[in-house]
Amino acid sequence: MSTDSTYNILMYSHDTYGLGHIRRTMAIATHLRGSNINILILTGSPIVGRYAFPDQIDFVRIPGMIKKTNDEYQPLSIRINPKCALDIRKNIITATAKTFQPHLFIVDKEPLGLKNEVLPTLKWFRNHLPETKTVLGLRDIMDDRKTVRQDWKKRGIYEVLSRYYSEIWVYGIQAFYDPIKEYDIPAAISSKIHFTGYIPREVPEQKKVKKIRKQHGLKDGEKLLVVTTGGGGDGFPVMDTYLSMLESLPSPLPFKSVLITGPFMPRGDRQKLFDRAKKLGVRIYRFYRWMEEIQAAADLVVSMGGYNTVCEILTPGIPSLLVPRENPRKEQLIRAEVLHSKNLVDYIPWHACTPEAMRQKIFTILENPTIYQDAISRFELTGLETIHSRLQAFNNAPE
Amino acid sequence: MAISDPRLDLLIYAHDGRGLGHASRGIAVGAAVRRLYPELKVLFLSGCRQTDALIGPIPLDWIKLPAYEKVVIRGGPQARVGKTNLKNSRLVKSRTRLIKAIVAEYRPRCVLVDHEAPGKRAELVPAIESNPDTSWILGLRGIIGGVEDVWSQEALYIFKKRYRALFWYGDESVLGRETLRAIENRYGVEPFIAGYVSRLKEMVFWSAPGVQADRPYAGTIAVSWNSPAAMSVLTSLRQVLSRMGEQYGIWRIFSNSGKEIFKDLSFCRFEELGPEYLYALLNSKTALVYGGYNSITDILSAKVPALVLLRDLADREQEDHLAKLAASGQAAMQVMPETNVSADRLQAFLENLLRTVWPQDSRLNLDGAENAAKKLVEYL
Repeated sequence: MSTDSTYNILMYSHDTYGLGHIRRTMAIATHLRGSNINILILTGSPIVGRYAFPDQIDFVRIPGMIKKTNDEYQPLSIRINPKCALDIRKNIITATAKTFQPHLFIVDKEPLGLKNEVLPTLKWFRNHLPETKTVLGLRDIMDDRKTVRQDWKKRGIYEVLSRYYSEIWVYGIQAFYDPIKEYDIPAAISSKIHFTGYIPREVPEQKKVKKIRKQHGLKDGEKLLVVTTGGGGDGFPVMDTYLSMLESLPSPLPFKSVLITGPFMPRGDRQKLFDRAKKLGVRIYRFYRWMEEIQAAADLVVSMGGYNTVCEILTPGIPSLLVPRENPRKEQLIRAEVLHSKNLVDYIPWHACTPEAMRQKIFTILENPTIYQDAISRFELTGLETIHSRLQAFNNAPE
Repeated sequence: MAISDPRLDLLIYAHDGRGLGHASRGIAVGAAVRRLYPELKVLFLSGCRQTDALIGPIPLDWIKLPAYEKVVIRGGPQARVGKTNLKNSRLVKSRTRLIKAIVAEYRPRCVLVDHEAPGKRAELVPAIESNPDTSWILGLRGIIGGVEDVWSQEALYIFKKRYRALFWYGDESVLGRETLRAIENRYGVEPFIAGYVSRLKEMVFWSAPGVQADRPYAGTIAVSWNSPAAMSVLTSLRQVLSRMGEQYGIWRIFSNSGKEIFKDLSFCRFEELGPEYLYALLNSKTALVYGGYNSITDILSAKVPALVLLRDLADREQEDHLAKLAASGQAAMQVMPETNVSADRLQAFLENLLRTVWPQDSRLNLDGAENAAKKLVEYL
């Protein structure tokens, strides 16, 4: 264990697909930092450096892997076979843990990391630094019950949770979706679970929101729709449908739109969207650094319903329309159904998403947003508060 | 070479701390290797946080270490704790172990090291000692000045013991033989003269920007420092630009601080330093930059008449470099210490630059990245 007078936190975020893991990790890290707390994030994200890192937070970037299917990963840009690349990542992670010697190790989502790459580190902590607290952070919903149960059983996850983790933080609400029941988590493990609630983002100042609206040419009372597909890897159909809807509307368009494709959308697809958006006079970005601000400036956000986007939309209380992906995981669809049942969002199933369906939903929400606004105003995102209290409990606990 | 062979062909190491020069040079060479030899396995290693912004569209994978930070106090660089807030000694130890582990994993055939043979605070030494069959190559920029780390006994010892070659990223026709002779005398080898390394030159291969012949932007300003003097420069610049108005076009201002200063000038576009910078530069009539190696090679490559500001640094290497460039007549540059900047002086310089054209007969060797890449493959 570090002999410095500081409390060191190591966070792992595998980042093989999209932006969700690193954004969630950064939101938590930003909240946890304090004068005597050092945070080091282990990430494979190729775009991690584009986010502003506050003091006391740094990152170690491990070579990138991209997800091809649920089970298949390839090195991002280095021509090396995937097994070797994974071995290398594993060893860098272990070496970082050994040198940083954290008091707390937080693993995002994957109990074993990408292809078991975190397991040696967990074992090392258990054998050599047992006072280090190991925490698995899980988003509200992982996938449908059948898939998760089968996968966890096959990969021995239940045993890993039991043996190597001090606590499990679920960044959701048990009453909304109960992973203990859904994923058949036994009592010995469920006793380690803390439901934190959803993780809020910083609420942007009103002057920043106003500035963004001004920058995008909005007049008083004019409505803004922001369309985002997170990392954008599979976001093209949503953007395509949205632009088709705009193309079918009479000019002038009844609201302004800003589209953010995400940095991982294939270049060819992205170019097609940029060309069409230009013809419509619609602002479109590949990457937008201040997502919280622009979403807060919107009257309605259209997204796919990833965990982080949902948190970013719910924090400032913006009504949203989700078009959740259904493959390779059902997590977004389940989240959309759950949140819709509480009037926190509306959604269109992926297979039913046509320009006409989108037009109907969007106009309905814009004409009567109060049903959503009321529900969101009563909804509390307690994730960071709960995490902070867990940290205090760790700090106060005798070693 | 079989793709399944796990051994890395080339690892490029650039230390971090102050400025982006080391990382930019390494990334430029990496880009040239990927362009010329796409079958090779190349990786970039640094603590530089801006690595992904510098890499932009180049298909070059990278590893980032916990970062050092360096600030300039009374003209000299001083280390301070990086964002991890770890004690410096602990950070050195951590990085040293990590680098050793990384090199052990990848078993690179060749490692290109920028500037300091032992690495920052000798962090490469255990990795060098553990991998004697790797070809270690040192790259030094055109003018080094009195940088102690380059001339130290420790650097010389490890170079003589383990390094196979030394590359010099300069143009002899501009810089003369003075630095070359000093390197030869100190290191006891004849350096391979690569030429200036320009990241911009390599970047345009991977993402060809729309360069317009009439250079629509009035100027590109880059202030990557966050010091009181740099803020004073931005404040003076604001006065100048508000006087000059929008008659020359849009001014692109790249800085990580000072956004508020320009908020009411509609013809000024303030952006954080990132991939857009180089494309703005290529489309600008003038530029205002600081005098680091990397900024200067960008200017030389983009052929933009520039005002170059000098920081009050003790080692005078930037001044020497710019004086030699000016004397060569191959670049349209004017130089001013940042502490001499006033609104009136700045305006006079900028208006003069707007009337200046780049020398037609400029024959600077800006192929340093490509030449280094071609030479590096000889060591694989």
